Amino acid sequence: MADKRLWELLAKQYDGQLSEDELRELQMLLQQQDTVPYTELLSELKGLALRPSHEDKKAKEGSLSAIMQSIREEPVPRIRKRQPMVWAAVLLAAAVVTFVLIEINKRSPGGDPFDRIVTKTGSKTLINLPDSSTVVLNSACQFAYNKDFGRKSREMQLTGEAWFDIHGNPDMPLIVHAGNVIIRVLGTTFNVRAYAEDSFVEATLVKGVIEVSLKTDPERKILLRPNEKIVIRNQPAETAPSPDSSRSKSREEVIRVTQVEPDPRDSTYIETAWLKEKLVFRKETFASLARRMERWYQVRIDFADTSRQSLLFTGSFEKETVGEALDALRRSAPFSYDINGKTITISRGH
Amino acid sequence: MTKDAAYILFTRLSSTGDEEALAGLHHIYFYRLYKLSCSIIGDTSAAEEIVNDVFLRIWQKRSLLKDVANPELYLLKCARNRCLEFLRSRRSSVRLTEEDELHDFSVQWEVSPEQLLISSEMMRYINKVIDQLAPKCKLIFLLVKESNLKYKEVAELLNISVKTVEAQMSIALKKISLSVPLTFLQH
Repeated sequence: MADKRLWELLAKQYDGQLSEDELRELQMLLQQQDTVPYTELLSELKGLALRPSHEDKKAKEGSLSAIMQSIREEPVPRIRKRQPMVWAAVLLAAAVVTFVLIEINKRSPGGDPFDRIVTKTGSKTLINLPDSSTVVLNSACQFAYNKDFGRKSREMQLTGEAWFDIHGNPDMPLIVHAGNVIIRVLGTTFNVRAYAEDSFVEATLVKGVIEVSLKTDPERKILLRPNEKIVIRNQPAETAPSPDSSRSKSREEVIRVTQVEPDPRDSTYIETAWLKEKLVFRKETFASLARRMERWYQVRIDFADTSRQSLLFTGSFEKETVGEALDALRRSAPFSYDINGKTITISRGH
Repeated sequence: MTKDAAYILFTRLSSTGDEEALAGLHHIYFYRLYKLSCSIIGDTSAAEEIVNDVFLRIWQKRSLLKDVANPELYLLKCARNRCLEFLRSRRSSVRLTEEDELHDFSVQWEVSPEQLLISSEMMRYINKVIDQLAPKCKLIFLLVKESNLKYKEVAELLNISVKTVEAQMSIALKKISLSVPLTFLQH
């Protein structure tokens, strides 16, 4: 009877539907089991990846080409020739889209082995890579991947923020270079934030395993598990190359691994909220939030009074204008602001 | 977090209507929709047709997709409905009910080399036991495992009770856990 109940509770836990009472009951039942770490085994199960059979792969390829053929045969609605305005609108829209969305320098001089992509502020760009991996770039990113991506190696460089859904390939690990951080990946889903103007690089793992190391110390590898976030503060230049005993201590201070939890209401993470056009922050300093608002609203935010930088805020913005957002923030902490074109100055409140 | 990927691809499909977004969705969801269809109708080539049909329909209705709250569940429901229509065209009445037989299908998982607890030897045991699960139990495990779906949503999709989903999941988890020889689990 107790055994049946144990598996009922483990099944509920797998769904994330365990109440606090049930969790206590489960822990009690597990203690009686002593040696068998079922909960660990079951959480490992979530990291498994489907392995399609040969027939399944063929079905998938056949299906995709059949679909693509069908949609291309679909009759295209015709635009009447006597409406030059429509053409003008279409051309203008195309020009704007091309300009805003993406800027690829495929053939840069000097035989650059990388394809480079630069995104503008206030836009998001989705990239489908040749190996079926997907990368979504947040605004103001510089991103590059090797030209023969997926054939000999998989390498990426990122300055900015991106969300990665990487296709598993045990024979060809993918390496992301972000600031002074190197992330080695086999097949997984994660978010990286590495803007040059921030003083840190941050990686949040949703699924799978990634291995994080520093350029300055490639031997030290940190394995990240799902629902863990690593924050690496950029080391001040003068303390970086000191090989004395105090080094290990200062290194401990720059790397921090914390647990993250998805929002129980919609199982999304703060770290990936930008994907859904939301700016979400939880106990974040005004200094850090201001950097993100700058990219979000394409403005510049200066602090006339630096003491305001340490204010902590929790909340989220979706469709608010920058003025509405600042008014909302002002309701929970004292400061005043002044908007002058694209520049906003924060000062002490009245 | 394929859920977020699906959300973005849906938004992209409805706003710009590009083929790449459709291909992206196909890449993420083909196997799940295909296995679900195989399980309901028990015929792989018809299942493939059904999945193609699902993707063609979302392409045709792409402008409406931006209002879909849960793209993942939406796709699975589309596939289920197409399967039922398919069965209906063959027999006079079809409903997916608790008693309905689901057909067996095969599915295999693999482990990334960095996963600490599960060795490839252990993976063999796990795959073997999953393969031997009853079709309904296997399908429920697949949907829960691969789709970020809550038991409630799986229950709704298969037209069964949440209790059944819970019971089948507990059977699956128990069998999988017990299939693994204890020596692998003791550190």
